[in-house]
Amino acid sequence: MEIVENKEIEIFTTEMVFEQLYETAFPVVAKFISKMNGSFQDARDIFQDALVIYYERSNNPGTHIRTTPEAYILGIAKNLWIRKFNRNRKHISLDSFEASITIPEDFFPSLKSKLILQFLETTGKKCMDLLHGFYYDNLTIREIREVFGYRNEHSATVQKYKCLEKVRDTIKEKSRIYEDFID
Amino acid sequence: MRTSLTEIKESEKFLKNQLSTQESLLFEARMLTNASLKSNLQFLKKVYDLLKFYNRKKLKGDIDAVHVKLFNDPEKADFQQSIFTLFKH
Repeated sequence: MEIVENKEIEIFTTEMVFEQLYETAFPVVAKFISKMNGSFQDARDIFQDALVIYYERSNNPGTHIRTTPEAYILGIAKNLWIRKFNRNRKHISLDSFEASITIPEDFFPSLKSKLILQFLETTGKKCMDLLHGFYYDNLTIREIREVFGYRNEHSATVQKYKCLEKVRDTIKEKSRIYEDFID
Repeated sequence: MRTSLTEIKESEKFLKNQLSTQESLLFEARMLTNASLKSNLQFLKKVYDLLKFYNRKKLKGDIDAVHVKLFNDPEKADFQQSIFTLFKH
C-alpha cells in the first residue's frame, strides 16, 4: 500500500498548488474580467479553465513556461475571454507574450462529445475511473489492482482492455444515435 | 485474452508508436484489408480524446472545490471582500 499512499500525497500537493494559485492568480484574472464588464461567475469560470490549461502545460515536459504562473494564467484567461465571448481583440490589450499563448484546439468539446461523456459518467463510471487512473494518475497495473480490488495483476490488465473496448463501443453506438438529432 | 482485446492492445501500441517498424507496417497492411480494424482504431482514438475531456472535467471539479472552500472560509474574509469589490459595478 506504500505506493498508493504516495499517490495520495501527490494529489494533496496538487490541491495545495490550486489553493495557492487561487489566492495569487484569481485576483489578477478577476480584475481583468471586471474591467471587461464580466461577472463574478464569468471570472470563476474563465479562471478555472485557465488554471486547467496552465496545469496541463506545467506538467508537460515539452512546455517551458518562461514567466510567473500568475502572468501566464492571466494570458490564458485573456485569450479564453476573447474566444468564449467573441470579443474584439482590438479592445483587449495583449502584449506580445500574451498574444502568443494558444488555447488547446480541443479544449471545448462538441455537444456530441459532452453527451457521450455524460452517458459514460453515469453508466460506465468504474471503467472511466480505471482508465483515468491508468492514463492520468499514472497508476501502475499493481496499483490499479489494489485500488480497484482485482484478484491479480493479470485480471487488472484484462480489465483495462475490456474497459477500452466498452468505452469504444459506447462511443461508436452513441455517435450514431446522437448524429441523428445534432446538427 | 480474447482476440478482440488483443486487437485493442495492439491498436493502442500502434497509436502510441510502441510497435516496431515491421509490426507497424504489418498493422497498416492489415487495416487495408480489414475495414473493421480501421474503424475500431478511429473510435479508439476517440476514447483517448474523451478521457482527456474527463480529466479536464475532474480537474475543474477539484479547482471549484478550492473555490468553494476559499469563499466560505471566515479566515479569508479580506480576500473575499477584495474580489467582491471588483464586481460592484
